[in-house]
Amino acid sequence: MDTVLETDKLSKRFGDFEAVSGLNLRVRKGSICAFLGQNGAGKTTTLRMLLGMMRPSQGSGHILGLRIDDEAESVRIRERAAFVAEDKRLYDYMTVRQILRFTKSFFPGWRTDRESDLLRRLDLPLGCKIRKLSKGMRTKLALLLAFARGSEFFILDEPTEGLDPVATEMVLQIVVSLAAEGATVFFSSHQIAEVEQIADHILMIHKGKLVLDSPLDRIKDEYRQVQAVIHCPVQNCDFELDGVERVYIDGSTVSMIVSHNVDAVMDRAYKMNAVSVEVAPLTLKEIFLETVKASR
Amino acid sequence: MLLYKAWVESRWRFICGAVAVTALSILFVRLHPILIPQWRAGLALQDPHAIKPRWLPLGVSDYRFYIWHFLFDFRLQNLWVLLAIVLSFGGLLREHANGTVAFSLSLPVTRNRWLISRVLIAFLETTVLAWIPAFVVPIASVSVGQSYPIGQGFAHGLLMAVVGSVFVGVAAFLSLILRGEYTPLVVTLAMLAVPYLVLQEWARRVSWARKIDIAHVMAGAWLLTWRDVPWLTIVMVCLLTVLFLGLAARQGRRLEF
Repeated sequence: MDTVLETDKLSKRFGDFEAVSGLNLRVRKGSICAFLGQNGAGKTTTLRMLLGMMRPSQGSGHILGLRIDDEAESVRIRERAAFVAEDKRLYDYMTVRQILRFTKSFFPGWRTDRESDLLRRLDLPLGCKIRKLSKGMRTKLALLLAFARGSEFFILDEPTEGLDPVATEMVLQIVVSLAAEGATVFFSSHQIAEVEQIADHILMIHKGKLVLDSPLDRIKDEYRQVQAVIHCPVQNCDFELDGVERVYIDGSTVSMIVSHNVDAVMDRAYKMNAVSVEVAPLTLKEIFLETVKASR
Repeated sequence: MLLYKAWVESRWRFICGAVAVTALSILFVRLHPILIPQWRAGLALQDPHAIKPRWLPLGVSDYRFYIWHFLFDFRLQNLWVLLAIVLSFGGLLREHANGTVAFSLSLPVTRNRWLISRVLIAFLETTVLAWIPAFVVPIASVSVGQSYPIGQGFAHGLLMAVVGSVFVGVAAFLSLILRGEYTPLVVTLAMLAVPYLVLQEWARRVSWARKIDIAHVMAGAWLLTWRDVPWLTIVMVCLLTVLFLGLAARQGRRLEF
């Protein structure tokens, strides 16, 4: 099986508000797929539907070939897929040792080697009550409890939130090593720099709808900002071309965000007597902001 | 391991409950030599206006009645019901309120298994609490020159735990209806404890009301024998408990987090 996660028109409605709308997601086996979107875009709702914590209002989804909306199959998904929630609170009445023992009991493929390695690297005190851990330490523990499950699919909601830069870097390295061992990682993050560092595929949602689905390399190669100076009057409709995502006109300066087909856009600018045309690459952050703006 | 988690989660509530039950049992045993002379003196009075409950002569003459009256039919039972509710509250909605539900639901466990493990521990803990007096009272009785059969305490405790299981069922159900960390506990206490106490008081005055007074059924006869066990009521109460647990399971499956 090449696709680990697949949804078909997945939707979730809360009364009149549609949090997720007709989402078609595909995550390929072995990839590190970033799930981007603003706060309230529907990322967490989507992740919770994937893990059976919420039922879809419409549509369907499969993880590892198992239906997300069937309770028995959802349990089998959770045997094979690890999930770290946005809210990483754990049972504060347990010690680190107790919660490790507790979690381990549900996963026959528990990676004791990884547990020992992460305990050492993340500097987690075994005898300490969870209520006494700092937020960062709790996040580290939640990640350890997911990473050591021996899962083939990892769903991580804001995995580095609350971590210091050193711990963040360590977690990102672990995520990369998981993928190198053949696991698939699907993670949401607001840290664009982290996404650029480790992701190989980007899924972006805005107001519950998928607005970008592309490999990161292609996004970096093809997304460009084209800026042309044209003295004759121009309108947005003059640049309604395939690949033009957004057009800004400020006097004689026309700025365009182009997802592909840059050459055709430049040709159009020259045909309109542009005195200069400049093409500049865009960062993922700029692409994110422009994609969100374009979807409004 | 789910049982282990349910135990770790509730063990301090259980330990506090066990201490309270032990203390209450010892208190009423130790009060016996103080109360009985006073009651005996009261009975000897020829004052027609003096309040003399019908049970008083038996309470004075029979230590087993005295223990049953104050513990299994009254104060201990009241405390046990309170503890049964306190020990039964919790579950996925409470975990949602304190932020741990996402971790719990990321484990390969059905929601029914979460419910069953929690309810099972609540049943075990409440049964142990009901049996504590069976051991404490005979030992403490020696210190006041009395004796109490361990078998009677054991039988009364079992009857209280079995009939009182309905409180566990209702509390488990309400814990999956009401959101918030402590709201379910407060509402359950109000919904169960108030009718329980009111009905108990009413049944003392109206004889037929005893048939629907769960407190009366939980107490049983003061000298409990196999013949006195209210089997039909026990079956009905157990069915009611199963009904509430079924509703809790249904509600648990429907919840979204």
